[in-house]
Amino acid sequence: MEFWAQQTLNGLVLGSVYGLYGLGFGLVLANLKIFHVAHAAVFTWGAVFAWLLTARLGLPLWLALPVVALLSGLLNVLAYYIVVRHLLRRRHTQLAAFISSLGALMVLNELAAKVLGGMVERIPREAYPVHALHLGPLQFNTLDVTIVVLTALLMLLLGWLLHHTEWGREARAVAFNRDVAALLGTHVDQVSVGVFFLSGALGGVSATLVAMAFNVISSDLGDTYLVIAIAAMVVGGFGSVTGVLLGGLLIGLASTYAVAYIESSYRDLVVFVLLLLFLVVRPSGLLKTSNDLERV
Amino acid sequence: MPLIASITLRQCVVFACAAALPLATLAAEVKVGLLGNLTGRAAASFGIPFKNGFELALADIAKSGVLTPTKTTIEVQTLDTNSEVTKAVTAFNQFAQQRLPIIVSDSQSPIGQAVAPLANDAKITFLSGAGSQLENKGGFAFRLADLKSSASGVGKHLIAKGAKRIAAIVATDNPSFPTLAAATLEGTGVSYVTTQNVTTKDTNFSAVITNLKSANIDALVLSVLPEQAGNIIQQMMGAGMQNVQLAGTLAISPQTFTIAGKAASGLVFPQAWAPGGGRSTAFEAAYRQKYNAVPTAYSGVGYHVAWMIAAAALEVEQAGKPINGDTLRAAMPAASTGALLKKHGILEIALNASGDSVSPGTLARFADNGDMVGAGN
Repeated sequence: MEFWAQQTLNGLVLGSVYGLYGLGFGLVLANLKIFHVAHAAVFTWGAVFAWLLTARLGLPLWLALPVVALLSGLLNVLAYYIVVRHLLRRRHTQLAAFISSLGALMVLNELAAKVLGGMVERIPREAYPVHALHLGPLQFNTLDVTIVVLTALLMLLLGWLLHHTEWGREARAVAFNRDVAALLGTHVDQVSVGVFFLSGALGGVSATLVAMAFNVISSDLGDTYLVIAIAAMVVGGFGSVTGVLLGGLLIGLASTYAVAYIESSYRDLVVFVLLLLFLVVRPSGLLKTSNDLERV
Repeated sequence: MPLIASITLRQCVVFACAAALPLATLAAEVKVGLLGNLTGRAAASFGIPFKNGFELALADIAKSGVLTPTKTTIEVQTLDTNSEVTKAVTAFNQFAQQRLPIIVSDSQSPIGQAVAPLANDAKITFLSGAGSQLENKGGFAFRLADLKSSASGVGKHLIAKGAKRIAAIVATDNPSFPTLAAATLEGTGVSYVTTQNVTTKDTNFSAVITNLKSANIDALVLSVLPEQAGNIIQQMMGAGMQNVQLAGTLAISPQTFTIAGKAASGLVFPQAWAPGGGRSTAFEAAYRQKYNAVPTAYSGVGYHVAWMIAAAALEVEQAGKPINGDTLRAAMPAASTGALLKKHGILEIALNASGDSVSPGTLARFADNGDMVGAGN
């Protein structure tokens, strides 16, 4: 029982990061119906920003994190303007935007490799000292707590933003029907900019947490987790904020249990079997999105 | 007809003059291709230290004058593989097109395994830091790492220190690591109570560490990349596993200490070479001065390999043969244990004709400041 509880705790921590990453990705997908794969590069750059701020400038993590969120958000907005915006009125928008975003992914990854000097870097331990904690037989640490609490707070903040603000109402309207929203006076372009900013900020924060937890910052960091993020979206439900988080938690648990009860090499197989199962049996995901309430 | 006769006569004169020239006046250039893991995951631990040691040796070889009698020079061309197999193969092909007689790769079994068959096909001598067996039909591929001789010392050390429940974490997608893990306990009569298989891309080990805790282990062999070893040690400390004896493999590098800090100071691991004076005092001092860093095992191997190439080239030249992949291949085993290496080399690597090596190595550990020292120190 103790073993299962410990592995469950491990899975929930891991799943929180997956959910946060998947959420940023899902925001853009739900709002613009485009597969913005360059989000993986924005994720990577979030970790790179965190490294530059902590290792090069010596900032503590708590100070660096909001700056990372800001920089990642702005980077994603830049990506919107350069890579996506001009394609929105074309035929085959989704395919064109996907290909354009793929190009941006490659360019941003190469730039990240140049900044990192082709090396694998890490955030210095001093930026956020981690202390071991225990609750009965369960072992965890202050970073685990930070990940879970921060994820929960960001989810609540996002939920409030989407459901209790004017901007959120407009964002949901644009997600439902962009053209109609425009006709009704919504500044759809500004809403999309806001969505991209939020998406980038979430990606940057989750990347920083990944970099801290797993001690790795490399130019392909985002690529490694992109497929997991997509799986979290599919399992949780396209366009559902709560669903993506639940999907991430479920993926985190599945991959942890795979390592715990089978072995690590089966981890990806288990995750993809779960993904396929949902696509076949429940393609709407864990939480169905009602058209006018839940969709971003 | 008279023109043809005069051309033929002229050619005869030229050939006769050339044949009369003593061999010593002709200079031989040995072009070495270095497949360097200068960026990517293998850079900090293997590629860069190896290249530094190699280049330092080339400077020492030139200064020593050992190649002067045959007027042989060694020139190295380095291509960055980015620690990736595809880029390593592309780089090899570029070297092969230039007809380089010898190519060196600092590490990474996947790279060694991809390049070795190509080297055999192209008849290019290939020295690889890979630990795993290489395909070697023509005998052109030499494996520098001897996984077994030094690894077994670690297992004996753990048992001597009282370890009874030994576990292993093994990165199974690199064929060297399972071999290293198996070699660690070979001949001890003890087997692992649990083996946790991971991949070289894994960074989250929370589930694996929980598995180890539930197995109640008292010693752990880390047969993974050095950065992973550092990560695992750090995560183990966070999980309250401070009392577990830690051991590594040949792959351990200073990167492990960079990540894990003082938690890695008890880690014991085999190395082809470790700083500590003796015949490598001059090398250590020169390395520190030039690179402002402490040399690692891979620095030592890079240094020694350059001297090995010089020794093989000298043997070929003194035998009056042309320098090419075939002649270097034939000369390499004898050169690896010859007088020149005994005088100028800094470790023991004996290559044999089948491409394997015997290298007893040494047992090392991290001092509190992160320097690698002999485990007995």
